[in-house]
Amino acid sequence: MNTQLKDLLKPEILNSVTGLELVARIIVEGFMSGSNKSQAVGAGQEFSQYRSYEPGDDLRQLDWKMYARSERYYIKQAAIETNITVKFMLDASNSMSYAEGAMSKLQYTKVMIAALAYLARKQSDTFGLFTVNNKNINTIQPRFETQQFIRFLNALVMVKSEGRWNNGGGIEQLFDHHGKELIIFFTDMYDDDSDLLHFISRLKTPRNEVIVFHIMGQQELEMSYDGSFSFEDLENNRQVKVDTALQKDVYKARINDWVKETRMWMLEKAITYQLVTMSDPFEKTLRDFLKVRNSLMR
Amino acid sequence: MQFLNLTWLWGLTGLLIPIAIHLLSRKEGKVIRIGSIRHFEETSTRQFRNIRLNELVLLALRCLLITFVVLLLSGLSYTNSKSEDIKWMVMERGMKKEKDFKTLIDSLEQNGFELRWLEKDFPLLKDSSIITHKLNYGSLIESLKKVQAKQIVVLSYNYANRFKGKRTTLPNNIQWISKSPQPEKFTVSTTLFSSDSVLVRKGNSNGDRTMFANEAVGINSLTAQDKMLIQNQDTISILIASDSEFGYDKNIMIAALKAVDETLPCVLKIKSSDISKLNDDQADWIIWLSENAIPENMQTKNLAFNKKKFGNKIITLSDKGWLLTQRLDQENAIENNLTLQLASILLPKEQAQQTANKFDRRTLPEKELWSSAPSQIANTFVIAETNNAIPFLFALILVVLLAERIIAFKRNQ
Repeated sequence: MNTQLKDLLKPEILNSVTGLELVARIIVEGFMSGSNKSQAVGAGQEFSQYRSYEPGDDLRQLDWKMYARSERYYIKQAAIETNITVKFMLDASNSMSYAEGAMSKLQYTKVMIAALAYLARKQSDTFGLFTVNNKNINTIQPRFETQQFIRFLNALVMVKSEGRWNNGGGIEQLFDHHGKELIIFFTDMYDDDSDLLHFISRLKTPRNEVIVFHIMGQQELEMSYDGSFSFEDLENNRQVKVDTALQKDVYKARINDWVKETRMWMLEKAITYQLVTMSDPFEKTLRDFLKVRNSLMR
Repeated sequence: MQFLNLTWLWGLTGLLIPIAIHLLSRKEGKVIRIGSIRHFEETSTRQFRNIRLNELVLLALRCLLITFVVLLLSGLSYTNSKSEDIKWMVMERGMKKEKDFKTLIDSLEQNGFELRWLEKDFPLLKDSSIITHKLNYGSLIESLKKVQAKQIVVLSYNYANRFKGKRTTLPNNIQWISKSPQPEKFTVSTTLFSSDSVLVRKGNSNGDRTMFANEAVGINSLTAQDKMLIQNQDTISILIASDSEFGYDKNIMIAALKAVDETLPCVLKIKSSDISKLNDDQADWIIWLSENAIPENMQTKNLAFNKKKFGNKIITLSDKGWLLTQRLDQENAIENNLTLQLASILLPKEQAQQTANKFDRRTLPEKELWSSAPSQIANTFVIAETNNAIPFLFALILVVLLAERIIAFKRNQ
């Protein structure tokens, strides 16, 4: 994360639509600068090139007008156009309001989502937003419109972390799968009775791709607090007194096991799992996103 | 306890620093809100108690450290104060037998006074070991001051020869009761001067003075004790070497020697010769009367004329031998007691001197005992006796610092 960007990651900027858009643009443009267009070619609207016919090619793609002019067989090629639907799903439970330094997990996630949405728009994908907690479920259905990005950002800015994960009604609409879609789920994986895992497992179908970004704080991972503290659970408000010096090693091992277990579970279900710490640069997330998206295109 | 710089004690307010830090940094009260506590484990109260105890020990050590540093800066010194209600009754040897003091001693003993001898280290009366040191009242009083007793009663004879050095002041807690000793009669020496009679030199000493007298008695009338002391007459051969210029001096010298010979129980064999004709005659003494210097290789005891030496006495001792400092004539021979001085160097009586000292009963009068200097001097003396606590404090600071570092290190582990 460069310092220029860091200056922009302030609540007053991130809580406005234009500010969030600016941050997203800076991240994505910085990431994309110098990159070339996709070399993938195939059938599509936009003409790319001719190539000689080779036995085995699809006759439907033969350019008969070209044959009439030159008495040679040419195959007409165009840049492959993909329109993938990207669904951003956000765990908006209260545990996401855990903050390290000036930034909470939710704010970090918002920036990530905005940047990914900006990237998706650039690639003419449709994208939608689903935020879930037990108080309300907010949806912006994926559409291909010019206003979609602003609408999307507006909804994103309004998201508040409160309550806990929704186990009740209303969650069914999120499983409405059709077509090629990429589901990106942002969560801190703090679940009750594996309800999150259950939800994630239902998201995955053979036709879509699911990425789970697991957001963690650096201190949270390493328990790098000095001294003895009371820790309060953000969701059930229970407190526990802990001497961090005594527990640090045990805690670290426990977190490692948890992450490893989750990763293995995801791997079995062919779900991409990424552990993101809040000090990671956003570019890493973007790269992961593009990697998975490419695999979806083939 | 005394402090050189009292203002430094304000540094003790520095104790507020570690205490404030301790109070402010009690992190147990601080709550961190976190996503989930599922991975935490409640730390048991026992462990917490250990930690808290550890921190209290650290706090105490740090406070101690500051205190010691402040004490160091303020120049702490302490006096060897034992219990304040020490009461001593110190008496000189022999006082126990004095009837006048019997009631006093008894009543003081009943009032809780410890009975001790007025000697070095003040042994208890019960201690049978008798060590007689040369006493000096001044130094004894100095050591009595160190005792820091509430009250000390001293019974003393005030022997004049035991007051040596500078006169001291008597501290307030010491009462000095003196008694003039019984007069003492003693025999200094007995010298046989013919076959059946002896010359007895007797001394008589009391608080005011010591007198000596010679007495010729028959040998049979002597006491057994005096008979032990009988000595033969000394025989001393003296050679007077002079030149022509010192003829008069030689005559006076011979006259003086003859006077000694007649008065004292000794035999002087006097020979005289010219310095140029000096032969190898053996003599106990050589009296050299000449402007020329006495030969260096002279083995015998000698008294040589040496005008260069000026002094009060007509005869003085130099590193080469006795010197006669003036030309002799009748007048200065009488004025300067030439005869007496000659006798004292020719016939030294160390044993007799010791005996005389032993029985010396002269005392100092009450008014001359103590210096009446202002009592402030006494106070400064007390301060000078205090011990400096600085090395001790340094050691303490080092130890505490070390302990503090070790505990802090363990705690951070």
